[in-house]
Amino acid sequence: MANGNFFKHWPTMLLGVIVAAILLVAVFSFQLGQTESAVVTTFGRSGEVNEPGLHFRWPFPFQRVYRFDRRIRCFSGSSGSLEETRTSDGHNILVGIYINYRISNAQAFFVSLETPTKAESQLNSWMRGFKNAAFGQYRFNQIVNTDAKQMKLAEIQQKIKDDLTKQTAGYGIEIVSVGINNIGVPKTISAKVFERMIAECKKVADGYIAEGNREAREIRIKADSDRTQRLAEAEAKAKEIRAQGDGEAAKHYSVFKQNPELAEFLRKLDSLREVMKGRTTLLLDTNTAPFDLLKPGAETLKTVAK
Amino acid sequence: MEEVKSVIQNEFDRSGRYESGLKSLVKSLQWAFRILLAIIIGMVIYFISWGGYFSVEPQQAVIVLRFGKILDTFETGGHWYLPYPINTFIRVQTNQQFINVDFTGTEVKAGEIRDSLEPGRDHYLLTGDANIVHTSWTVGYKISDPERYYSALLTPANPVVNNQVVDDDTFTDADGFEGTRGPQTLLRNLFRQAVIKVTGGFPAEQILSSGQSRYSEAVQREFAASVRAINCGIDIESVVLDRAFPPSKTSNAFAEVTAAGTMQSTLRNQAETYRVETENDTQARCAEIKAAAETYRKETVSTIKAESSYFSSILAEYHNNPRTVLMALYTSTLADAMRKPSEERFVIGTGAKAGRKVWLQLNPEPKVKLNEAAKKEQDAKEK
Repeated sequence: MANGNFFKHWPTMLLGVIVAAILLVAVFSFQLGQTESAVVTTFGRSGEVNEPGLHFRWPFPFQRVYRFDRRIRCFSGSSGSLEETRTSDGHNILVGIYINYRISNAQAFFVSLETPTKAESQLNSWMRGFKNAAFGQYRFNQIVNTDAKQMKLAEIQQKIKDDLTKQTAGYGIEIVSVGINNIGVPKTISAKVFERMIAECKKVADGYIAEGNREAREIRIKADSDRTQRLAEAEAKAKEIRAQGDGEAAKHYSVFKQNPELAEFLRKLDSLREVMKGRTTLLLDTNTAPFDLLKPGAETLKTVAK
Repeated sequence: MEEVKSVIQNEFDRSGRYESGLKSLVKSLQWAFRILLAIIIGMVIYFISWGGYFSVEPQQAVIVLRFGKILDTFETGGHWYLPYPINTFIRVQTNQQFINVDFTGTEVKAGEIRDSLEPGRDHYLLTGDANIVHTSWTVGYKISDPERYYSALLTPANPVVNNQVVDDDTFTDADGFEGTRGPQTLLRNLFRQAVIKVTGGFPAEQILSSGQSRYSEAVQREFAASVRAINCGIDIESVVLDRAFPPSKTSNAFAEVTAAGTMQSTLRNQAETYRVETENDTQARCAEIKAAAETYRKETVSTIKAESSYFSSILAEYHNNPRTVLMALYTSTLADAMRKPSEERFVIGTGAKAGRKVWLQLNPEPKVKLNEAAKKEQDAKEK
């Protein structure tokens, strides 16, 4: 009869077993993620679990499980980001920094700081102090400078990181990196910066115009100089060519040696032709042929008649 | 049922007064049990069927965690695993994502000109020459290693949603972004740091005009290096400088600088034009001078050749009759000269002994003058 009842009610039994198993697993175990660490406290004594997976635990009030995510957290310390920090050469600046940190030792973290919120409150205070201390050791022109060798911003960040690492060593926190996410100057200084920028702009603008004028003048002078030089060269070359022409012509002058008087006469006639091409007022004596025919008595005719 | 009925009648309700109530109770319990059984069967069916199925979207990757431990990562296809609480499926966005980071003042939004900048309200950058500029950026990034990304950064429970990590502990940054402790907050801060550092090494003039691409590249290099140093499975795809501009108070001064720069170019270009024109003119003039010289050379040589030839041809005749030849040549030349139509007057004077003077106008009156005379006459008539 008993066996008969068991087989008759097996679904009920199975259901009971499943529910009981689920309840037992839920009560006596906990899951730990790949990115988590857990601190398990047993009547006030704590132990750390880092291995991901399913872990056994005694239920409350025997044991309590506190989970901490070990991944990088990016935290901007808001405290002090709007207060003035003084550089070593007396400049007032406003600097905001952030840190990337992770919980490296969950047990130490839990014992000393308890929760991330409390930890960040403490970190905020340390960040403010170390930031002011670090910037106070550097000049303003080591924070911004067009010369990369003089710029020490990376060094300042490293210094803040080192100080924070030292400070947080016993708190189970690892400082991954420290950076600057805001930098500025006080309101009154920004007004003065504007005035200087405007003055510099004017100077630069004037410089551009002056440089433009100078360049233009240089280009023009060079162009004129080149022109003069090249024309002189051309004239010299022309002279040479003309001399060549004269030289070649001189070779033909020997013909004229046969009768220099005739040659001279012919040259004069040529000259006369040339002269008469232009606007010329010519005054001739009637003794000049052929106008000697116009003379009274026509002496020439007489001569011919004889 | 009959068995239950007999138990009730024999053990609890011999009088039969509660029979109907007990029957209803038993019936209800039976239904409740059936419903519970159906739910459990349903859950089991769900558990072993589509409850553990997931498909990977093209722009996502899925990380499978078994009891919290990373089991596998899938970037394509459909897969089945026993569902929660045994396995958990984490979806990570793997396509390119963008964030905007602004270093701008409220004046930009309000369109006002401010005499100074308010810390905390106006955001700006200090340049290497201690000036102030505003910039606006768009950063493109991609999660190249989803497993590393999930393991390294404090992602939300659903990493596809980037902005919700610590809901009760947020702050608003310069871009109005509600900061968390998660990946986008980290990227923004790393980027702000890179921009601040690079800007601190550049003069304002270069950021605002001539060196913008160099500046932008330097920021990208710095930013990519800082992201690599974190080793969080993120690759920087692009860094775009959307805008770089001076504070509104100084914008006119910068506009004057730009205008002066343009003026400088104009002056230089004008001078260059003059140089080119002068060079061309010089070239032409040189060619002209050389051509004239060449012409002279050729002309001189050919003239002398012609003259020598002419001389040789005349010389023979001249030997025979010098006076006649000379006279013929002379008179012929004079006649040629006199025959030319022109305005010139030739005055022929008599010799000193002649006792009278003869004036002859050999050339006709010029046409122009004739025309002028005719016109004057016509005008007079009209009057």
